Formats: sequence, structure tokens, C-alpha cells
Amino acid sequence: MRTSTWLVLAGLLAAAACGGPRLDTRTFRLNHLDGGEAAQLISPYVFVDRKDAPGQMNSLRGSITVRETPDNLDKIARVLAEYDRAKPSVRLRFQIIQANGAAAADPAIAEVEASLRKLFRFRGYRLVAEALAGGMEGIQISQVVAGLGGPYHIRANIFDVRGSGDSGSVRVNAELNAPGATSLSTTVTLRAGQTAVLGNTQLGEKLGTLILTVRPELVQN
Amino acid sequence: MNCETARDRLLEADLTELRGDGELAQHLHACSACQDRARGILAQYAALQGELERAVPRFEVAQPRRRPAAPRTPRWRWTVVAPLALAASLAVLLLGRRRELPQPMTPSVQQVASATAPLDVEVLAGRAVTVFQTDNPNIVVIWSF
Repeated sequence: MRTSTWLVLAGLLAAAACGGPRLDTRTFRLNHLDGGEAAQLISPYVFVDRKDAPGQMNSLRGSITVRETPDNLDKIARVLAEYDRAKPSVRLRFQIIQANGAAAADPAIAEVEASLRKLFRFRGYRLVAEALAGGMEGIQISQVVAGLGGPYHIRANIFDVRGSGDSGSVRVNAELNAPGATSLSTTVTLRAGQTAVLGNTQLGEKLGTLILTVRPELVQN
Repeated sequence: MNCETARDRLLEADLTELRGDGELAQHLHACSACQDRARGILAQYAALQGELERAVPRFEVAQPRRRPAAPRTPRWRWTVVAPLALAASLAVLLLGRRRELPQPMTPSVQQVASATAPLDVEVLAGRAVTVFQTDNPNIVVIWSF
């Protein structure tokens, strides 16, 4: 018999002797979380300092065994069902914007342009290329896109995806390389739906300043 | 005017005074130590203004306010000192004095944490970075140069 089972049995006997609340034992299978993550997640529901009948938990190879009141075990089951899921995939939308490129407003970058106009004194902004790429945490994306002054090489690394949907976040490294321009590389943690406007790299006097925007979206698999 | 008074006045003086007009200037002509301090302030101010104009064209450095000519008791003027301190902080950031920046996580990157959100920004080594929180909560501008 495993040590964890002995511990749980010992706890049961102790609780019965002391007359504390009735505790049950349940083992939960972990599909995506590791034991440490699961223990951290459910620790607020396991009352290890309960005087008469302390709660207990032990994790082993893709499972976690918990001794708690039936009510708390149900709560733990709900929490694990909610969080023990595959991490969402990430869709990244890139836009390459040329500053000083145009006097007229470009509707394709209207939202970003409004913010840039409040900050900088460039004459105008225009979209010169855009790209859409997707992947999971830990992968690197590399894409070459055509456009004025290009071709542009966009590279991105996706790190640390947290949460899901609009409330999630992702850490991403975005890198832009263009012929004759210095490399622009920035790593930043963004909320899903938040746009990072990354500046800047110079394409020479004729083509002006290049700005890269990146916006992540989390897509549940 | 003694050096102690002059140093207080240096913190809130107009640039014209530092360059050679008025009572403070007379002391500066006579005292090389205070003159060095004044020169340092002017140099930092010029460097800051140059960097701000280059990096963030629409931002302008606030000029210290003009003061009445009447003599005053020497004391800290926080309304002036605070912007100067802010300007000095900006100068440190913009001039890329690495010893003032947080230590890089790896030798190849510099890391700058945003004060307003956990953006945790890293850019290539040798580049300074400024993070602008815009009035659109969904847009953040990260400007490295």
C-alpha cells in the first residue's frame, strides 16, 4: 500500500477518534497540470490546520489525492475541471507600419494611428505589410512578408501562456528584420487583445521609420 | 552669496542664470566648484532635451518657472525640484546609463519593467526603451532607440 494511502487512512482514524467533521478521500486525475501546480491551486480548499480533522493532499504521477469534507472535495473537483485544461493556442496579428509614409489617415491602422499621433510628430503613418501567425506556447514562428521596402522577416517566440480567452495573457518576443535596417526585437507580456506598438527601426531617409505592432489572441483548442 | 546658498539656488535657477546672468552668476564666476555644478546641470539639460527631441518629438521639457527678483530665504522648492528630479530620471533612462537600469536577465538583453502594468519589457542590449501607456487601454507603445 502506498505511503499516501496510509497517511489518508491514519487521518481518517484520527478524525473518527476526535469527533471532527466527516472527511472523505478522493483521487483526481491530472491531465495537464503537474502535481505542484494542482496542489497550489487547490490549497485554499484543503484545511490542513483544522484542529479536529486536518485536510491532507498528496500528489503522485499525474494524480492528486485529497482528504477533505465532501463539500470541499466537490469544490476541488470543480476547480480542477476549470483549470486542468490544455493551454490555448495563440494567434498573433502583426502589422508593419511606416512612419512619415503618408499624410492621409490609413483606416487599416486607425486605432494605432490615433495613439501614435498623440505621441509622435511624424507626418503620417501607413500600413506596408501585415501577417497572421499562430502557435502554441514554446514555439517559434518565422514568416517573410512582402511590402514596400521589404521583404520583411517577422520572427516571434511564444512563451508563458496564461489563462484563456480575453482574460488570458501571453509573453511574446517579436522581431522584425528588413533589408538595410537594424533588427527590432522586443519581448513583452501582453493581455489577449492588447496591441503592442513596437518602435523603431530606420529604413533610410527615403522610407523613414518602421514600426511593428503585435496583437495576441488566445484560442481554446 | 556663499556656496551653500548658491547650491540651493542652482536647483531652481533659470537656465539664463546658470549661463551667466544675475546674482547667482556672479558667484559662479568667482567659485569654480559651483561653476562646475552649473556646467553639469546645463550639460545634462542639453543632453536630455536633445534625446527627448530625437526620441519623442512631441514631448517638450518644461522650463523652470521665472521667479521674482526679490531675495528669498534658501529652501527647497519642490514645485521646481520635483520636475528637475523627474527630468534627471528621464535623462538617466534616455541616455542609457546602464548602471542605473535594472540588471539584464541575460547578457544579450536589457530589461525595463513598466510602472503601470506587468508588461516586463526586454529589448536588445545597447538600446534604451520607453514605455508609453496610451489613453487606449488596449494599446501600449514600446519605443526603443
